[in-house]
Amino acid sequence: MRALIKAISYYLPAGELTNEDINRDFPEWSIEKIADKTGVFSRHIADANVCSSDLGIESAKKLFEEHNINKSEIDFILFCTQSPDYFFPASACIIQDKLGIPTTAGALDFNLGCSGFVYGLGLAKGLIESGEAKNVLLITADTFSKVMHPKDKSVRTIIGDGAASTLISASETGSLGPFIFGTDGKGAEKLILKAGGFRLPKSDETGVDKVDEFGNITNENSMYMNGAEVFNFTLKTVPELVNNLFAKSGLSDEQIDLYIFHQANKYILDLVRKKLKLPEEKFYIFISNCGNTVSSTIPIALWNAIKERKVKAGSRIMVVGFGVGLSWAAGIVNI
Amino acid sequence: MEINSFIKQFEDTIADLPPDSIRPETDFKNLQQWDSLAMLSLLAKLDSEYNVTLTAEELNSCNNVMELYELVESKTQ
Repeated sequence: MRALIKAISYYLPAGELTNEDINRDFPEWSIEKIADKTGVFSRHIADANVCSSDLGIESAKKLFEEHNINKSEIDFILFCTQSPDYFFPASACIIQDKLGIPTTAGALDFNLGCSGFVYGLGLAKGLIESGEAKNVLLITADTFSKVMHPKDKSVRTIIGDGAASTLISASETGSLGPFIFGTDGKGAEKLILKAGGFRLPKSDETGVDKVDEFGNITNENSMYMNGAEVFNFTLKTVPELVNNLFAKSGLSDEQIDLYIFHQANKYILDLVRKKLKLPEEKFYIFISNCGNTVSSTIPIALWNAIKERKVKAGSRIMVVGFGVGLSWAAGIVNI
Repeated sequence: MEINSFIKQFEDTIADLPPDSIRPETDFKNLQQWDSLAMLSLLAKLDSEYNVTLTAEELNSCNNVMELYELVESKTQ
């Protein structure tokens, strides 16, 4: 039995943060400059009382509706988030109940960011091809807006909230993979939300603001990104990852119909594409009205590429995720 | 590589920089145009032009454009 991506839907909360809004907070960055450098015009922001699991549930409801999916056939839920409802239980358990998925389904959370969707595909493939599951619901969701310092323009310009649901099912045809995974925990502090766990509980001290050399303000209760280091990591790791996947799969550029990389920001994507000498027309960008939605950027882009008929049944797509961990993964997807 | 062409590239890379505004002794980190995006643009340029990767720390250790030029040159050899 093979694993196949059967359907994708996504959900973006109604609230928006536009470049005009950001410009009001940071007048030194013009509206045009933000759009030109990041490729983002607007990001969606969840209401204060709306959690990642809520966004994930909305995306799953859309999946059931848009693709006429019978939820009673789902036998595994994988929930990828960095902003769970609680330390425990797993948000996937709450999602099972709220969606009315049978109690015979397995459910678990996994904590990854921008590489998470590709990891989720790999896990779903393992469950299906080992015969342990037939219909895996992979939900990716995050609400980083809740952990971004209002004065940190380095992250507020690019990141938005959102969720996607992907159904991976057992199939006679189709194929998912091969995959390549990688990890470098030495880079853990390059992209981190430090306080609030057991290692560093929140305190008055963790809430003290610190200013970096560019005037970006953050504290340990908010997310921190070392832009230069994450940038260098991406430029070094992603080209190697892609070339390794070409080698492992035995495929060449001519055999790939579309590339969908994690939509970090347009600037870094352009650089990576040029470095790899990949054709621009096959390098899909979907970021302008949702920004970087962390683990959901790839399924959101993939679903739009399908709707725009950039790809069709039988197309071969390379998906590449990279980011917080540091963690990375790439794979070949047939739809 | 020589310093004048390096300066030209530096000026082309940093957004909104008036032409001929950079000298070898310019402390680029104090330029009004020097922000986190300018730094990323410069890191990208050094990577694509010279195949040199600088960390933020290395970049910050340079007091002026001449020192940056010398650092890049030492890494290309």
